[in-house]
Amino acid sequence: MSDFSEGQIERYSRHIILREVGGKGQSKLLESRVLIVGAGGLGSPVGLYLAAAGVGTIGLVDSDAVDLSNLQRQILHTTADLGRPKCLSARETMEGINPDVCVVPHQCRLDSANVLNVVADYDVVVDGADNFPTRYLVNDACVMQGKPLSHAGILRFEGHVTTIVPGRGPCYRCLYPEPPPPGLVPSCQEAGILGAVAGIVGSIQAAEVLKLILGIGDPLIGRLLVFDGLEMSFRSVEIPRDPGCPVCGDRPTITAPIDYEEFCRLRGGIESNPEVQS
Amino acid sequence: MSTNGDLVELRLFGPLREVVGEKLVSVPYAGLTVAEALARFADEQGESVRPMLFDSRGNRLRSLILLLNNQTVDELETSRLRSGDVITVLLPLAGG
Repeated sequence: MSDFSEGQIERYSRHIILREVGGKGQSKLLESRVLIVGAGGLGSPVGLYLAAAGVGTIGLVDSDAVDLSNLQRQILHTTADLGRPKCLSARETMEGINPDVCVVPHQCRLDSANVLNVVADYDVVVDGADNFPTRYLVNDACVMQGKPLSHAGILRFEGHVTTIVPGRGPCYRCLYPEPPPPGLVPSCQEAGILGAVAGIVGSIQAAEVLKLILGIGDPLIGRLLVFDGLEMSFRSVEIPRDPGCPVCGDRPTITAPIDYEEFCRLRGGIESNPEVQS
Repeated sequence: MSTNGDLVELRLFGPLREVVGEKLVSVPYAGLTVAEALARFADEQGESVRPMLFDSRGNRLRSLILLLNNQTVDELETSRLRSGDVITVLLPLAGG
């Protein structure tokens, strides 16, 4: 267990008085390593809450720079950060909230060549990406390395959240064996997103990550939480693991990370007619 | 002619809700299988909705989660709908 400084005891006092956390749990948080993929709408609340909670090492993957249109929801960044790499802007904000935290910027796009190396350094991964190729890639890498993954997606007034723990429940490919055809599901850039919806859904991801590290409660394993911000309702849907899943199934056929284009080609190869429309 | 006894509900989310313009649609589909109901819905809604449910060869998209009364459905081709049933259609969300 860490020896807490007086400042740390004060800083984390509201955690430490929770029976489920205590000094032991807070030490676990300080010693833990979490990777956040995407320093955007979801990555912002996740990054802020994990940093404030004292997660000792937080990796951030993002290759973009801060744009004015990000600031309506991406609360890791400020107007003064416009044009700066998001990784660096986010690092300043998070380390500013809590100097106990070391933020490791990964200013790159994840692909089949680098994803296993990046993920390998962390205990838990958070998917806050803004595109399907990265989501499938991160899922596959986490399954292959046995890393717990908090997944969420948002659009307009809606959000989906689930927690993937390889071996204990379904993975993202069990939920959605294939990505939708390109262009069918719009991005937030195309269809919009209420900023606070990103905050609600990302905060759920942060709570799930903290629970996983602490080993408390019931994570959203095998459950997809569907949030409707207009109705202000949550629905919890039980989704089983697919024994035939190509990544986490009983006889996996995808055993190394593949890029989206290859995945699409694979779709064509599996079906009897290879002329898959996309 | 439909009567209340025929009605089931389709609960729509995401882009499907956008295109249809409703989050809950009542349709006289009791007696159909879930698969038949989805095909009928695509037929009735037309070309803006069909690509969100089926590919160009008429196969149901594998990027859909279909729920019957909030449970995943193993037997899409054989489970017959009863009056008051709710089918939920979920598409993955890319945004983050």
